[in-house]
Amino acid sequence: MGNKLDLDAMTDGLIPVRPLSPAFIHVVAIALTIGGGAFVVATLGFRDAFGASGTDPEFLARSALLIVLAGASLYSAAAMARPQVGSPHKGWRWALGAALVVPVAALIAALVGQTPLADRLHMNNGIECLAYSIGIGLLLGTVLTGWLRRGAPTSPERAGTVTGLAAGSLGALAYSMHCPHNDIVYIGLWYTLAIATTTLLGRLIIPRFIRW
Amino acid sequence: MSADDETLSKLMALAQHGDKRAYRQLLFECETWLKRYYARKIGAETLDDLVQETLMSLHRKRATYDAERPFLPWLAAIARYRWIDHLRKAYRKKEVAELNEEIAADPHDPAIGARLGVEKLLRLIPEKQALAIQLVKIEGLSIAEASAQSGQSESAVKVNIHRGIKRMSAAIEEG
Repeated sequence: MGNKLDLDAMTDGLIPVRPLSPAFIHVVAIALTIGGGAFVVATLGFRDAFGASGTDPEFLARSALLIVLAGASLYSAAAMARPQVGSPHKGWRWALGAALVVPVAALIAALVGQTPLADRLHMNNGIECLAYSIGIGLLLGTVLTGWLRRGAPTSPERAGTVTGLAAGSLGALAYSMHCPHNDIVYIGLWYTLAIATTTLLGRLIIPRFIRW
Repeated sequence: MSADDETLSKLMALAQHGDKRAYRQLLFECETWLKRYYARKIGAETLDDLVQETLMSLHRKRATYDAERPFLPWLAAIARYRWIDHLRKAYRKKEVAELNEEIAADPHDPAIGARLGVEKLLRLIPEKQALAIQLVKIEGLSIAEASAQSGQSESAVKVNIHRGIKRMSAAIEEG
């Protein structure tokens, strides 16, 4: 650098700024998820059309788990824009730990179940699940990345990972408004794959855009 | 006598609203604080550069400060981020070994104490990694010299530096 920093010049260039408010990005992400859910229902229909009730315990439990995972990771990702020693943002790890019960249960169910695995995977619906969940997740991930670029995340890799996790969870939540299946093997495979994909993409792609 | 956290927090809140006088005072206080913060953790020749980089980051990222929260943990997170970035870029220079002892942190200053300081980051990583970083990146020894002094092989020194910086980077906001 070499030249002495001119504090007076820096002061002269001061313009008012509006402090970053995580509440703003929370509202935007929730609005986009609702919009994504509306798009899913408009193009594919609500799950009731398949005779699967919107009040099924499995559907409600799945939605609740996705909401907790998405909420915790969205909260952490948004908070990472504002640096602070003493704020390690670890809440999302607990939610992720709880959510990992699903693929583990799916694996056990697939191994011990009597129904042939091929009959439980519903490939066409599974591909559709991936396409919609990841597509909506990418939109959300882009918006969240824009938010992080305005901020000062001190751990870009972790911020990218958590952002991808939040985006994928919200995308999966939006798609689940249509998803007609309650089978744990189906949920454990396709939902996990969708969220894992956006999380991996977040880890690999987002850091390079949010370094400062 | 340096300003306390409450005063700095108020100055920053005023600066976010465009108060230039408050901002000028804040920058002066932060410059002093940062010089003490980085003392003994960076060479005397590069200390000013690192302080400048950190102040510029403070300027560019001032919207990320939340006036409801303490100021110094915010500044310390930015300072740690810039310090680790500096360690990544640092190459061996003779002057790196000449640490600035004159402005070393006052051990009684709680703000630069165990919780916010960069020393805390070095304590969060395994001892061998911290030693390799200390010898090569902070004291300016060559890999061979650090290897001889630490008893680690040269490749182990390199690996420990790489892993240590990566770990510290992930722990910047650990209090």
